[in-house]
Amino acid sequence: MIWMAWRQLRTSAAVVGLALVALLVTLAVTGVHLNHEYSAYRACRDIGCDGLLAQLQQSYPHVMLIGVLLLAGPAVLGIFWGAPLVGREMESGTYRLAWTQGVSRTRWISTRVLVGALTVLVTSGLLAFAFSWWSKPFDLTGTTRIDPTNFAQRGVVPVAYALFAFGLGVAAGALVRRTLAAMAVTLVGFVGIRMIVQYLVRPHLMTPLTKVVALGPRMPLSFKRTLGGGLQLLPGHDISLPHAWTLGTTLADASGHPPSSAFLNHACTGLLHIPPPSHALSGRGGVPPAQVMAAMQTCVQNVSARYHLLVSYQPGSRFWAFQWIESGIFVGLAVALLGIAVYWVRRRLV
Amino acid sequence: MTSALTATGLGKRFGSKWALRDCDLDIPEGRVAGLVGPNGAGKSTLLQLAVRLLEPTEGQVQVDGKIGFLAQDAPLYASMSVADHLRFGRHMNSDWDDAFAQRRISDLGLDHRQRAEGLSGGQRAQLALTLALAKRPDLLLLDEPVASLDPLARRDFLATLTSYVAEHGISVVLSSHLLADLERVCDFLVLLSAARVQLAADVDTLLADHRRIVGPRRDLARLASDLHVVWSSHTDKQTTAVVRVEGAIHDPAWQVEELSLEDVVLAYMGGGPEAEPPARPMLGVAR
Repeated sequence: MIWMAWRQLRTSAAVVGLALVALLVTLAVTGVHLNHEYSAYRACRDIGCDGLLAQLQQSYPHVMLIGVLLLAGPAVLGIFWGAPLVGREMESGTYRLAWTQGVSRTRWISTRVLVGALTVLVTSGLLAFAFSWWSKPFDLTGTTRIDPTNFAQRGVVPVAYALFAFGLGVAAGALVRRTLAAMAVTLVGFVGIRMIVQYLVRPHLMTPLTKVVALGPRMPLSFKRTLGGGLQLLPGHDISLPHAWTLGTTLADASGHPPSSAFLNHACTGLLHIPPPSHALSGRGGVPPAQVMAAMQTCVQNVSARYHLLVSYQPGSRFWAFQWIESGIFVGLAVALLGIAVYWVRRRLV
Repeated sequence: MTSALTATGLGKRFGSKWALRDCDLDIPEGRVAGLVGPNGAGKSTLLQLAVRLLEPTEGQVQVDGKIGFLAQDAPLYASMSVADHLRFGRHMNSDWDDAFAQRRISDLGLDHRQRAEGLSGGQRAQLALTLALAKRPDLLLLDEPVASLDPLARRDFLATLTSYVAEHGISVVLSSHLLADLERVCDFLVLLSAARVQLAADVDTLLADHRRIVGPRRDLARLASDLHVVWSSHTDKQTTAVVRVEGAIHDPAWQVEELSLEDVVLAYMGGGPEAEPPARPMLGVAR
């Protein structure tokens, strides 16, 4: 049965394998060079060699795009290895050949799932490991690993994503019994679940830390009017902290409350004359920019006496904790989906 | 006498529609049984229940020994070669007769490297039959194996089948809506219609027991008690009927004729007094 499971994967596995070898060679060759550049920078860091750092950080922008493959790769494996595994057998009718041999249906599906999952594991594992190693000089010189885009290209989560996509594909194929439809379900489901976890679940995996940043004249702020005509003061954009993933920035006093409209109307009287909608430092409605800036400055000065910016963030030190938790979630989902697929093939199909 | 296949109260429902119902059947060992009936009568369902591709909704079906199954349209892996299909058989079955399979492939003149998608319909059917036979089955189930074949390929296929059966004495259940083919190879007949078994008997018995009677018009209800009317038709002056009879017909008013197997089956399918109402199923006799 293992022979058959591998026979049905062979052609596409060969294509993926060739591409993988090419990528690994590229990463190995350029990675060795990157490490040399990094060592050179380290050796002279204390006497200041910003030139070497700039050179390192501008190296191989095209090779860095391999990281994009790690973002898309799991979906591709799920679509081309997962979805047809049962889906194509149902669609072409070959299940009637496969399931009427000496090998039981249970063994048939278990073996195919195991061989497929193992191939997915090796493929995604090799690329994820190689790219993590390759990126290390960048990560050591300022790249924020915990930032969502980088997070998904490093460590162990790409492997967990790939297993999840594979499981989703197999289950979709068993349930919808059509290859193309199963592929579509896999793509939509994978992107959907990935985004839900990334934006709605991951920020709360561990309680975010907060950092207090004092308001200053150079701090970006904007203001707007509420429906009632009151003033509202907002951070211009999220404040980025080194090596951290910033979740949000709010204006608050020592006890955590935002400024009231009444307080702002008093503290920022100058802004009341500027017609809404308006943005900080961009003159509108005939008000000269200088006047807007002055009004804003006065406002910030008054407000900063009682209020500061509260930045909520996940620190870079939580990178590995987040990697393992999220991997656990996706591997768990993969196991559940593969379990459904096995059950469905054993009990429910035809 | 032992049975090759036994069904008791067997039924299979898809959604709200019964594909097969109240099926009691006993096919003796060592026979080549033909399974006939119009499309949708439940032939495929019965075979798939026997080979456990389907689970019964009610009742049960029992088969002693190993089953070789050739599904409708002879499914094969399009991108796999002939040699790969034999390897598939070897890896998927513990008791695989590789020498037999190799010999069959060379007898058929098939190229080992040829992909299944490049084979003709007849070659596909022969390869699928080889896969089913090389696992040394005790019971061979064939679902419409010759339906899509041209007459020559059909003849070759049935010749392969009959010679194998003659040599190994295995039991066969073969479904078809082509009666002429079944008549050539079968010695047992099962007629399915409207999801039920209408008839299951030895071909010889069927032929011996059924007669066509033609005579002056009369009421068939007053026939002798050992005559069972299967089908009848009346004109103004004349009555024609197909009857099942135990013994001889003595009434001199009837002109008695023997029937072919096809005539018997058609009589049962044409809507006799006991048959189910739905439709008047058509039997394609040949293409």
